[in-house]
Amino acid sequence: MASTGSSSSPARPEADPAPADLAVGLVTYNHARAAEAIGQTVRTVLSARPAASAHRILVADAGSQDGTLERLRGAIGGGELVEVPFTAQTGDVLDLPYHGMPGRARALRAILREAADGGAQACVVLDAATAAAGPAAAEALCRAATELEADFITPRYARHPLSGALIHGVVYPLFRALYGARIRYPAASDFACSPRLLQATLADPIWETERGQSGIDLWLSATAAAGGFRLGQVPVEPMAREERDAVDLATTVRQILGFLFTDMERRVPAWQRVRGSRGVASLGEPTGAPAGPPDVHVAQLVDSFRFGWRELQDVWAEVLPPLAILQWRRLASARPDGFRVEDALWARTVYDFAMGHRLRVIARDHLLQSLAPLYLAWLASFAGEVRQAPAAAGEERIERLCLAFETEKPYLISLWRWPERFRPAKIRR
Amino acid sequence: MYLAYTADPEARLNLGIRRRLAPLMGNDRRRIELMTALLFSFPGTPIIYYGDEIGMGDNIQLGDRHGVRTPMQWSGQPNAGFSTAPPERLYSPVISDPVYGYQSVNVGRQEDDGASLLRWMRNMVALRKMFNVFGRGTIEFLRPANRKVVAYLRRSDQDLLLCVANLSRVPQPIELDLSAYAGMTPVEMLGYTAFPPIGELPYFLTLGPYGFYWFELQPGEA
Repeated sequence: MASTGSSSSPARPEADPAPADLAVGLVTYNHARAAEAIGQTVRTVLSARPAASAHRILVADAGSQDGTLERLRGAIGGGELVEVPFTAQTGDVLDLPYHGMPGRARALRAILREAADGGAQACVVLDAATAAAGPAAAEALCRAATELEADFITPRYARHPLSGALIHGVVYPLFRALYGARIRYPAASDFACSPRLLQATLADPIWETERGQSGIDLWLSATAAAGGFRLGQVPVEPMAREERDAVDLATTVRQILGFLFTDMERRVPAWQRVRGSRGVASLGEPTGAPAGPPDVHVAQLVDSFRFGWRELQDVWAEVLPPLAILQWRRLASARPDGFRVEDALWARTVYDFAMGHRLRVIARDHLLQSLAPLYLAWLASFAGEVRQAPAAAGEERIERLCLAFETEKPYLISLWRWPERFRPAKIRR
Repeated sequence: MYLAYTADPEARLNLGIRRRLAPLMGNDRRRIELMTALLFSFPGTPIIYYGDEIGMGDNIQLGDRHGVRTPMQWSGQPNAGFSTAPPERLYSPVISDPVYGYQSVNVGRQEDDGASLLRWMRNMVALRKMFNVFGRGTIEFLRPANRKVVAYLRRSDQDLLLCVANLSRVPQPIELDLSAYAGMTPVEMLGYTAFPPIGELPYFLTLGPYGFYWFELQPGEA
């Protein structure tokens, strides 16, 4: 077990803190270059608050070796910054999660516990990259935490539909169909939460688990949605995000969907009772146009899918029923310009993978990573439709996809309740 | 009870019947499933006697209640996989008749068979566990004109279920007055299939021989 530099924090006050209206938490890891911008964001946000209100700034560092903490102290002011100790584990750094924050769940819990112990009426957690990009998201979340009567508030980022497409194409539709809550970014690493939610979640063992380190944000969203907590959403203006070390797609798919699928197994009575979906209270409407589409090469995506078809069709046949295999086979020979993956096929494919994951038809990691080429096929189809369209049309397209996931949900429930109905093309004896 | 279930007088013991479920039901899979569905949908904690989940038989020649205390039939191996002791040292001989014998009725075999009673039972247990209302909810019997069909509502704060069972060996029609739930949609729980919404008129269903339905009554579309 390794200890991060923050566990012997010199800046942590010895006396009990005075109760704060608002706690602002930051989880950092090698963000020295962005420290000045983060500090600027925090100062801007807190200076805009009423003079009578009290606040605390909490930071949990995941073991930065580039002097992040020193620079943050300088940027925010050492007297105001509370460095929250937590114990990271060696494995956290070895298996970097898709969000780039080793030991994120442990760090987050340290912040949330400190906020709860300090009697904060609301806790706003900011992703370091978001904070570095400017104060817009932080301001919006702090305002929402005060004005919205909600236990869990997430940002609704203004992003092009092709930016973060894994969220638009799988995570959001699946999450929404399962838990019935239209949390547009259920895996957002910026959020605000109430003491009520903190009380309900801090004792859970998830914070210390390996899977929790990559999926804790999704877990919080799912807990809030499935647990009947009041949900809120706040639009966040478009912003440029700090580039992170890219984790390859297959790993990201494995981590995110692996978490969602595993979490599903623990919430069966909740999601099997949910029909349709409901809106989430929102503070304002989205403003500003997102940046233009990122470079997406449909032909390359289709090629990747075809390569996957050649290499992985035997794996897919252990999860997908014969009809789906036939449909994907047809797509493998389709021309890129008319390449379209039907929403129902995509939704059922995701559900079939969820079943395959549950029944462990093959090694789970292998199974999840094999979904990546199918996702690229969906992305090629999606990009063909929305690449030239305005952002609003992209959102409408995502909405239609979500409705398909909701419509096909009985298929998933039927399989889940009677696993013998899960009949992939190739059955292993 | 005696008339219906003890054609063989040796099956009687004191005031009871010393038989397992499968022989009691004539080894009819539909009747076994029906009885289990009734058991699972009534209030309280259902108890399944070991071996009934695979349709084990009994040996009423063994005296007292020993006929239903034969070794669990785990596999087609010697002693039904229950013990490696010599057969003559077992507390009770294993069932080895052609119908219920361990060579044909055993856990290992049913694990591999997607249509087996064991798999069916396992799914029903999981389904029942998902709905606390089965154990803890209220029960309200409906009064259909067709007396061969039993119908009842199970209700809790969270769920409202309708259970309907045909106790007869032939198909039965039934009309239920569900007008109090007009607008709701019965969703069959095993296959998760939505049935037509409930209206003001009597709700019509047909059930196959020894058939049963469990429905979740879900609110209609807003």
